[in-house]
Amino acid sequence: MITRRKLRWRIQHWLEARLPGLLTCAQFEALVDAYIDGELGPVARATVDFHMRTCPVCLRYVAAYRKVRDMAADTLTRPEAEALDAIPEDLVAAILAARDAEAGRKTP
Amino acid sequence: MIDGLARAMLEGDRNGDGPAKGGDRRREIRGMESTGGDPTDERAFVAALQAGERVAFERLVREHGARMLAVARRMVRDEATAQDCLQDAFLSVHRAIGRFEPTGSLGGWLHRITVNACLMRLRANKRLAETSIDELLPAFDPDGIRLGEPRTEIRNPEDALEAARIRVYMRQKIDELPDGYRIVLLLRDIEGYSTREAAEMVGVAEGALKVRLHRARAALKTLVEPLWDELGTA
Ligand SMILES: [Zn+2]
Repeated sequence: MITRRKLRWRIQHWLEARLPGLLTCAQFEALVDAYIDGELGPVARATVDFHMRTCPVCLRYVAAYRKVRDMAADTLTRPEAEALDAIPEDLVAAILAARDAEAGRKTP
Repeated sequence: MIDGLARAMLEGDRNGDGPAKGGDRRREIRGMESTGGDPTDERAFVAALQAGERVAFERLVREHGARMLAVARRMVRDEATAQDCLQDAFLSVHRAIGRFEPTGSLGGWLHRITVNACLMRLRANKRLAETSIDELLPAFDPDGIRLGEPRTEIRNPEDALEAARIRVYMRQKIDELPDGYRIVLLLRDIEGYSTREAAEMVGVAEGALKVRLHRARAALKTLVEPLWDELGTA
């Protein structure tokens, strides 16, 4: 079952894919990282922006893509703050022992 | 993967109308800024380390060890291996401190040594072997039109408890990525290395690294999509 709305996107997309200078979604996809990382020049950025204005699927895709990147960074860096004061004493001892063994080997 | 037109646009922009600016997310190597102490003090400290003073080495372990352990905990999946990586890293520090340039950042140097120690362990476990994640990547029809529906936007977590639950979930999903992809995502998006630096560390060309980063991000997005159903606002 295909809704009218879906059909309209399809037609719009089909046209866009054939107009020179416009991106298909697949071409857009290849620029997504450079776009969210701020590495695109002005022309490419404008083309990407234009695609998003006409393509709601890609617009939402980029929002989610960026959000996931930010959430991943947040997830993995949060515990760091808590870990800063804590290096287990037995680990310190093991590291120092390994270092001493190595130092002893070098200068007997 | 990057097709002709997109590549031409990227390169056209780079060569022509203005430099590709380093992104809005360029940041210092995470948590590895200089200790903020007196630079002459750090120079004396490095000199003591280079002279092989055990007291200085112990101070190094106590002052920088926790940060380095946090890096290792992100890179490998379990605590025991993270601690092994930290031991490896400090042995490398002991061996290489003589070659450390006192003008450089000690924190940045230690960070890189830690990452390298983790990469060595991961490689030894053959965990960097390529696994296909194609089924997690976005799909397009033959005209290059994206398949699928626009999704609702995800809302922010309602409270600290929900935020914490989401972080646990995210960590699980990140750990589900094959190491070859997971590591690239970590180096670029979390540890703050540039494409060039990350490519060098992983041992691939910059172009290959970019493709891998894209696949890693896209696959992670697919993996965490159930969150959208749960947290999406209608
Ligand atoms: Zn699109």
